[in-house]
Amino acid sequence: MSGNPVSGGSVSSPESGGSVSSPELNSTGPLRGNLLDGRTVLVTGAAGGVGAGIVLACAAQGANVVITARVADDAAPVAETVVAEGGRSMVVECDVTRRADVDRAVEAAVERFGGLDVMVHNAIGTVGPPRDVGEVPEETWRTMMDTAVGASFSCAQAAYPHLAARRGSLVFLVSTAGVEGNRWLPAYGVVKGAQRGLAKSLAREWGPAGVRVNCLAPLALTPAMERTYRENPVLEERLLARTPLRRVGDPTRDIGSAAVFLASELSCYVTGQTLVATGGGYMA
Amino acid sequence: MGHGPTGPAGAGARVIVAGLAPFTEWLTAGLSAAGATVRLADPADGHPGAVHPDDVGRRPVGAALDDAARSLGGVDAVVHAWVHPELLVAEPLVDVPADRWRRACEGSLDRIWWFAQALGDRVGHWRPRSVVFVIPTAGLSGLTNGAMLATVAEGVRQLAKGCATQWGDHGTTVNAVATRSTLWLPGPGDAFALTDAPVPGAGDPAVDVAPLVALLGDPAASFLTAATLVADGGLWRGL
Repeated sequence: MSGNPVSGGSVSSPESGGSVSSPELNSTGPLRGNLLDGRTVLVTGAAGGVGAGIVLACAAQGANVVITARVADDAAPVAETVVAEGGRSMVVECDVTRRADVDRAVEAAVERFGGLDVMVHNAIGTVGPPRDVGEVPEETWRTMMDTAVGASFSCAQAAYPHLAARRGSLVFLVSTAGVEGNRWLPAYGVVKGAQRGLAKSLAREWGPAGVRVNCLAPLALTPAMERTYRENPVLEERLLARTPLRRVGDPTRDIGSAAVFLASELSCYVTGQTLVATGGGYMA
Repeated sequence: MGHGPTGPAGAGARVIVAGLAPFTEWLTAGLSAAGATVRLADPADGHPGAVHPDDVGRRPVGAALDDAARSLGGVDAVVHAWVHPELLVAEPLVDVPADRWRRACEGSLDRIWWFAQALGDRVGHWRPRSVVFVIPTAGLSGLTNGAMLATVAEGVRQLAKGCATQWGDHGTTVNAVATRSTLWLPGPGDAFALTDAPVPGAGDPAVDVAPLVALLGDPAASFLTAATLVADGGLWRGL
């Protein structure tokens, strides 16, 4: 999530229209297959970056994709790319900090595609610049809490009946900051850790109903990260130096593929886990 | 906290404890028995349900810490052991009302965050050897019908790691001690039916947690930071 808060709720379905050139969304292309044929995947915060990468990867595996964003128009290029490549998509305007928006997005998905198999909560508010814990503004903390912790609760409650009906999967996008803490983004580490604690508990609660709950901790070359690199090229050098695979993950090919794994039957015996897709930058 | 590797961990240490009674009282008893001088610091003492910023925001937390530090004449260790009482009620997440989630779960994280911020304002001046966050093991293990508790606990555990990387420059270690949620319950009941631990029983903060807290403040533990020590009778065996 970036930009200003929006009033949510309107639903649009841009299933027609031409291909949109968006190399930042699809630089290496998704892996194609049928792992998610007939399944419906809802992704929050999917207008760009990791969320868009997950949408494109799931669509390339046959999923119906529900793309949510605070501003529906922002998500149109992603939806149009899906449609241009033969997929099925819809866009739902949704501010995840508003429970009614989340409920409406889930209901719209169910109404349009007949059910919901996978809920991916990816949206996160602006993290802000690196700071010591004592210097983090209250506004930043509140944004982190509302978009990560509060919205995870909303997404989980809204999705559960539908996931249980189809033995589905809930995925939270987290970070290695939620595994090992973070020196400069302490609030981010707290909320990502909190999401992992929630996921582990829900995995226990919902396992008997056949619903799996996992986390995905990515390292991805998002537009925000590209901007950061342009401003400070040394950061890219440092990051690559401690990443054994010597590249920052592509949102679609690298991170989207990991999300497809957690969404699909390939991971049918995996729950309560954090899948770390960081090119080896973090090792447990 | 101790004055040398041969002395008892905790002897002579000046310790600030914040958290939920009676856990804090039991913890204080254990630390005192080890020879530490303890002061409780929590503006919500007597109001354990208070989590609104006006009640326990960063400023009043800081004032309570300052009062305790003045009383002690210095600070060697700070211990945080807060758990919101509503987090100890077993309930499936799908049945948790939004207002309770906000109050108990997010409110707890708010409160602990403000505590860390207030402490962050002071740690460079006080230079305590040790900061310890005592948390329920639920954050590590996940907990059926205890999602709110686990959410808070795992968030706090990552907060401790983040603080450890910042406050090491001051010679301060920051660690977490994970223990059973039953230690915060005033009665013998076990709301979460934890039945498979090698060591049975609810546990006792004075006996089972205080010695670890004292140890973490000892010079012998000065290279131990950003860690989680698990003292839950073997309930969680993930590492």
